[in-house]
Amino acid sequence: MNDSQSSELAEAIEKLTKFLRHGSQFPDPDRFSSEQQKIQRDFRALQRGLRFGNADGPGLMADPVLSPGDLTFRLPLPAAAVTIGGYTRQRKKVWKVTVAAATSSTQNRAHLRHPDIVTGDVVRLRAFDAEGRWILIGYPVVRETPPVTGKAH
Amino acid sequence: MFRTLARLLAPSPLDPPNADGLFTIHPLQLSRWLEEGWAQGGAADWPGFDTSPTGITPDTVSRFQLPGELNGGLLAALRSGVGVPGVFSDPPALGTGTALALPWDHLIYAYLVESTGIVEILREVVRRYVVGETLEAASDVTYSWVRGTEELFFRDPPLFAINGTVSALRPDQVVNRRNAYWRMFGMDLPHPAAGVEGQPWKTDVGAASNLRFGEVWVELLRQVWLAFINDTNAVGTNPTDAGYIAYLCQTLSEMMAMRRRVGMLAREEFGHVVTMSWFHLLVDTDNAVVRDLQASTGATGNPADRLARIAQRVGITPPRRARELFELADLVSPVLMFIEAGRFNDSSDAELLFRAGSADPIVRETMNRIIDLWQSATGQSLKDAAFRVAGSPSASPAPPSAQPVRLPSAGLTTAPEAVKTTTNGSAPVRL
Repeated sequence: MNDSQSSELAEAIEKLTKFLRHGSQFPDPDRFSSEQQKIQRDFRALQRGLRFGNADGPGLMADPVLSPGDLTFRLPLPAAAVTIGGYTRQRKKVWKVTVAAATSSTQNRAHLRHPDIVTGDVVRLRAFDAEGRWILIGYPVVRETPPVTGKAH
Repeated sequence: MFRTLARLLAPSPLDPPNADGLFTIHPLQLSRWLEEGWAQGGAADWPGFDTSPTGITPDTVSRFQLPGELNGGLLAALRSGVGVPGVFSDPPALGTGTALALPWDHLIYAYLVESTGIVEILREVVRRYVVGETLEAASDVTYSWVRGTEELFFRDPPLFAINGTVSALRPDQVVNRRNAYWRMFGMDLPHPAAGVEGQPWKTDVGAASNLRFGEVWVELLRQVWLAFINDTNAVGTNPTDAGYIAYLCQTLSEMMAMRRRVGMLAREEFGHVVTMSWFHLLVDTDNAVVRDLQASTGATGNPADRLARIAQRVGITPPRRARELFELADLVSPVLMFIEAGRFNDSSDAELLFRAGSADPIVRETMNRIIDLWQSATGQSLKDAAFRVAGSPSASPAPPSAQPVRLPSAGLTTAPEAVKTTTNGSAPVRL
């Protein structure tokens, strides 16, 4: 028996075993669901975070400067950042805008403009990817006067 | 916290923790670093916990932190400068500059580490260094550690410090820690409190201690083990009940949430956990202090062996189960954080505790190890099918039921009240 036949035989035995155990070959009831996998991923991240710190966590925004209607960075937001929000010290959301809408006038991912962007009690910024995963955090310098030009500083 | 900081001080994550470097950081800087670490939010700013209704919440962190993290405010003006040992580095400090907060352990970590008797042993070491010369002269690092330990943990903390839970109203940190353990877990440390008469940590706690916690926790471990050994059971009866396991998790979660309302025990947990992480760090590696105390155990040594050798130097015998307790502390902490956050309250989510389900089932492997160690540390047989938790009818020869009729109730043994004090080494003191 060659390797290919051996592999096919092993696969067939595995399917038969699943069928006998669960009455069906698909879906595999032994596999964790996506929600279970998420909990497991979070658990692994916490376990690592408790021992080794947070180096694997979301990145840090580059020197954000927040003013009414305006948010600039030293470096452009990565393409993966789809939405961005401003949060209070209690981590309550003050505003949240899509990066695409906020860069439509500036065409610059280091400079966001949007009427929803306010200073308020914002002390933290969070950026999320398309799936809503938290990928960046920022601690902005707050200025009550927006920059005169549209250039990122 | 401090063990993580020692790892962050190492040249790379693959290097051993830089305990020597950490011990030479000025205690005032370390105290400020704790303030920064708290303000970062810990678990309150950790993905998956930021929306949790229990545990350390953003509101709690915000309420106790120094205000003004932006634009030169109070918190911004009091930076620790922790980065390179011996100098003031530009902010942000290590562990606070990255995006995610640095999480700190659950209170159970402090309980399990303190159960090893490490505080009593290292207090005696520090006392001997500062009052006389019964221990040999040591290196600069050791004297830095002695100073840091005394200033950070054996005197009143700086005014308004986040870990400042000592006052004229609760002057003894030993009693304060036991009070927190009693309220949260309904458990005492296995050794008596030296120099403390009676059990004042149980006074005026009201009827609200989680006296059932230990029993429900043990029942959870027992049920997870039953499910674990039946995970691949394809024939015959299978006593696995994920719904019951989820119910036990929910019960524990609700108990802890009750003790955490509006941020109760939050600062206490933080203070006690960082205290134990400082002591745990000392015995974690063969650092300069361990070498000065002639307690090195080599690359394959473990914290319990180092602690036992240090204890020998000052005439104290540590509990025999220290080996298990140190390892348990790291394992149980994240599990209880997840249980407290309600991440296993649903029966399908509770399956993570015992099912393989993926190539690397880390939750299941962690629980399996916890069960092994808990059984060894406490002497309670969790894997015996006839095992019954305290308070239940004793096991009969008849085939046991997989579940008790009702959830276990209180009935824990309490710590002995006998008062023992350490000696100057003339006679061993058994913790």
